[in-house]
Amino acid sequence: MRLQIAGVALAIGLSFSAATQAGAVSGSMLGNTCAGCHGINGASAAETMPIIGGQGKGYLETAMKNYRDGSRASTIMGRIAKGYNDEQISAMSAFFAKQPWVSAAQPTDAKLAKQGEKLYAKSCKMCHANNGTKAAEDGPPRLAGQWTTSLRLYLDCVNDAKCANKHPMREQLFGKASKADIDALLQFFASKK
Amino acid sequence: MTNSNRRNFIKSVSGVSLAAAMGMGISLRAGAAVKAKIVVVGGGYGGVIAAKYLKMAEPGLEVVLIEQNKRYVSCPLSNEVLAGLGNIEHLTFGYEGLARRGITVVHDTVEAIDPQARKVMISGGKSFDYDRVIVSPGVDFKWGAIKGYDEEASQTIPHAWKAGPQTTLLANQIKDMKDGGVVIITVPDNPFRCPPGPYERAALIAHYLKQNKPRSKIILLDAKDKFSKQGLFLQGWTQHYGDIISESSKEKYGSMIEWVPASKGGEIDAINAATRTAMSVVGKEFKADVLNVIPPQHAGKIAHTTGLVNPKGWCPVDFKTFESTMHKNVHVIGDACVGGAMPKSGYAANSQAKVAVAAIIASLRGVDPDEPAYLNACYSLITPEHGISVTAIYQVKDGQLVEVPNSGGVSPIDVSPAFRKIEVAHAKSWLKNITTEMFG
Repeated sequence: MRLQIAGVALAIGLSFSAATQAGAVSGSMLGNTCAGCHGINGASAAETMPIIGGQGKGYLETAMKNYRDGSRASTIMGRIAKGYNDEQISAMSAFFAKQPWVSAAQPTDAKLAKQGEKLYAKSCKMCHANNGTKAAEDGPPRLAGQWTTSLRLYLDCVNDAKCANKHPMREQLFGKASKADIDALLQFFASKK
Repeated sequence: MTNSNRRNFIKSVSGVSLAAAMGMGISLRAGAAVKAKIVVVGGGYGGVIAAKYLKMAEPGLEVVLIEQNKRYVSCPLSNEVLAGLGNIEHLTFGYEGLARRGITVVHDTVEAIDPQARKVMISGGKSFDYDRVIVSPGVDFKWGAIKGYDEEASQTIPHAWKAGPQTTLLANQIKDMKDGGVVIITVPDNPFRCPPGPYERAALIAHYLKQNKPRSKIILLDAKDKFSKQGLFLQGWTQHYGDIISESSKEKYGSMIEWVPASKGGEIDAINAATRTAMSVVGKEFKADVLNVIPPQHAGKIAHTTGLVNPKGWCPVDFKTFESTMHKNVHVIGDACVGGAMPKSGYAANSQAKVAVAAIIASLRGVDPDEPAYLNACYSLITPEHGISVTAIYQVKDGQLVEVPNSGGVSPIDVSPAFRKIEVAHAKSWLKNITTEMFG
């Protein structure tokens, strides 16, 4: 008799967990809806759309939540992020995090990149490690190989006092850096793939 | 039920669920080798993505894509061509990338689909057997719904609502028009392909005329009283084309775009192709120098001949699988299907294709389909530096495809020119990424 009760409990438990799983949307199902703008598996082929495949899960999750609550500026992502709950954001972020990173096919200026390296070593290296190639599980984003145009869209906003984007180096770096400095820095990241 | 019966009942129930759980585990693990034949009819924003994602999910599947044209011309961003801002070649794509992925691409006309025999017939008596067919034929025009407007009339009075030679025809007519001419665009009632398209078209033609023929006017004759992104379009039209002044003589020409809603007599039911005149249902006549008729639409012809349409001419589907509610093993995606809250857009077709593919793969593997996810994003240009967008996320609720509440929507009304300019850049990136996703 005890055995049978355990069997029933097991059956009920099974069906409940199956129901929860059936109601949840998978990361790949969610992630595939992003591909029209961000490319298959997040490997964007277009300069204003950031590459998100192979980016860190924690960073992606934070970015989506910041878009959703307006603490990160956007034209369209804020409206889109409002359509997802925490669980869905976590699932799609995990999906993109496990994709291979495919660096942008963009021209780079070796001379500028060399100049940018100095600025990188001085101001960026501590967080964006390994020449910016590191996509930490729960840390700052990978910058190496990212579309420079998409990075510039973010940075332009960081430098705008009215903009929501907060970056830890906003005061120390971006407030003081010249346009030429930023160009050089972006070329440095573009040159590292 | 006696005690002992109940005991037996419980035993058998737990036995069944255990077996089911085991079975599921086996088929999930064995997911690698699913063999089936899938035919995709139509190689546009929906069909191409369906074919490609089928092959990506299950390389062992036999996927046949049947499309009559050798080259695909994107409707999205084709209004730019009318303004002299883009080249139709940049919107033209070949199917070689799909063939390289092992998809059999057949350029032919589908004559019939037999849902009972599971066969797709093409010209010359050839046919393809299928386990599942995905039908993505887009729209066809209801020739004759506007009296005097048929396929022959469209050779001189372009619709330009399927991109290609029609786009070029309309662009050339606008280029050849005299300064001070009138461009009339007639707009059908909902639902139709690309709801913001006619209003973007008016804006981009205005962009061209403002610089080249500033005395000209554009009149939109609409069968509706409201339209997509209306507030943003009205704002943009006023801002850029509301007060046209001649650069040389400083003469004021006033507003270039006039929108005539149905309630003001904008709905037309006849045209005279020879005199380029549109006749409204209330008996008004509008004489144009360039007449662009966007005709009423319904699902592409093959959907009708296969018996997939409802009385309104669109294909009802189960929104979780996009399987037709009329025929089993036939899935309909894109403009041709009844899309619930989703508009008839390229992005919607792309998103629906992926839901249909996931459902087909799950069914072939013998597992429950994933809970679906759907998205739409549409950009429109008002000038080469002023872009606007609409986006939405959808879910199935009580069998209906509805928007997720408190999300999506149109671009804000009170933003900087820099914001509008970024939306133009994103529109171009969108085209690059979505066409790379399709044909790359």
